[in-house]
Amino acid sequence: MVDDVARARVFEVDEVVSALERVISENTRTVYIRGEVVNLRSGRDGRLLWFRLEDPREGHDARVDCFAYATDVEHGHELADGAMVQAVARPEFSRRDGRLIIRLRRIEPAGEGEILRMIEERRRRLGAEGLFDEAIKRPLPFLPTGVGLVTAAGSAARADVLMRIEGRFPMRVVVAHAAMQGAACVAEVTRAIAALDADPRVDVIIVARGGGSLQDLLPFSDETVVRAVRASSTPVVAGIGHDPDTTLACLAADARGATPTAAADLVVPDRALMLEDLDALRRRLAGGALRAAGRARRELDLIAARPGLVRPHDAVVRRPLEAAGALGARLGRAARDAVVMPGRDLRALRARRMLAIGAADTGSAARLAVHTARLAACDPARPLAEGFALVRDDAGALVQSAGSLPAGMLLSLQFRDGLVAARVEEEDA
Amino acid sequence: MGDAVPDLSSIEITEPGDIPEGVPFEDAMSELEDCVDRLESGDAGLDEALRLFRRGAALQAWCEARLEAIRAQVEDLTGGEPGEGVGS
Repeated sequence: MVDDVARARVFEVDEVVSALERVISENTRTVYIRGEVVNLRSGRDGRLLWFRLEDPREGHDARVDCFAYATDVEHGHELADGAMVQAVARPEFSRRDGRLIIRLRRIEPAGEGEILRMIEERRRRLGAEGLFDEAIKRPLPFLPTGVGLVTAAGSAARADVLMRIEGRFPMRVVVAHAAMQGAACVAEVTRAIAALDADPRVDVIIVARGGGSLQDLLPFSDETVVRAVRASSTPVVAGIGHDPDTTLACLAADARGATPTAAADLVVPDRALMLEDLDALRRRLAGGALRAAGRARRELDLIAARPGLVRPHDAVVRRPLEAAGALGARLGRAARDAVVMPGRDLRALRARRMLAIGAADTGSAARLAVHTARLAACDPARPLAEGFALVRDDAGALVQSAGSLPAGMLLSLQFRDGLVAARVEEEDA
Repeated sequence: MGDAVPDLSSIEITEPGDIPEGVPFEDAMSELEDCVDRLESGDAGLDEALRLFRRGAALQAWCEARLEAIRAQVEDLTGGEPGEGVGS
């Protein structure tokens, strides 16, 4: 076949290229094109831009080289890798490069509907891989040892997150700055997540960015960023945009807040509330111990006072009873100490809170609760209600030992509902 | 009996006990809650109540110390000056 080519005339390169130029220009027309910007480069003075436009739709792999003058990018719109654009397109054959290239003019962001459709297609494809499954979400630490923060230097999102952490629970924050929109965003966010994931001081990562246009947030629906979020072994919390902006990175994250501030709330517990919880537990602990001690003492007093259990069984009964009594006393004492001497910072915290809200004196309330518990434990009516009786001798004194009772003595027994008289029949053998 | 018996102050309520260094905060917290629940149930005998109280008090002190020990520190991984002010 090649041999059939006429050799009568040898064409110069210029002639061939010119012919191609003619073919292209005569057989194509100016059209409106839409696609995703890839591999954006610019000339030294920034006036000329080269990039590829790709068809971002699932299952379409078409791409074409393009160039444009910076002045052809519509005002207020910055061209970036990953941006979905539409533009006026005119195919040309480049004499210098010997290749087809499309000259673009009036470059502007593609319509929202188109972008949303592209994101939706990607969501379905990555979702089918299980990247957004609830089952693979990692739990956030109950109390972080350190928070990693991916955000733009000097951004409002950075200030919001740091301020919220400062307010809720001042702790270690390791910040990795990254471009949060534009050409460098995908690479820098991916790198920042990996760096914080590798940092042993960090056990949870927040990716924070304020709300923005669909185009601005587009990098956070980029497949590379989505995979970086899932590749992190440290849980990632997204605080990207403001509701209802939802990016694919948000769906892939282990948790997401509607704003950077809400993301901080998810990550960092409220220190004052935790201390209050601990304080309440301490008071309940002490109250429980006091009641246990009081219960034990009442039972011991009643048992020890029974005739027949005192003298003959000193070794068997009395000493264990005393030991138990000592336990009860120690428990009661420790419990009282635990309530009356609260933590230093807790006291200051409480004082501050009282100043702030004019609340009741919770310190007094705690002591009151303890005294109430102690009183209740000492209430002689309680054992009576349980079926025990108080024994008094003929002088009206409480009988605490069988040994002091001579035969024939008249006793009064006080039950819950009244007194009866009784007489000692015989002394303890 | 009771108050007359010496050795009242031997209970050390701030001793961390055998709480290991690396124990997660939430584990200590839930064990503390468990101690309180069981103590409050009133089912525990005296020895058990004392044990629960001591363990609970140690856990409480440990948890509080953990919270107290945490300090604010903002560092810039990308080369900013360490300890830079929060909220800048």
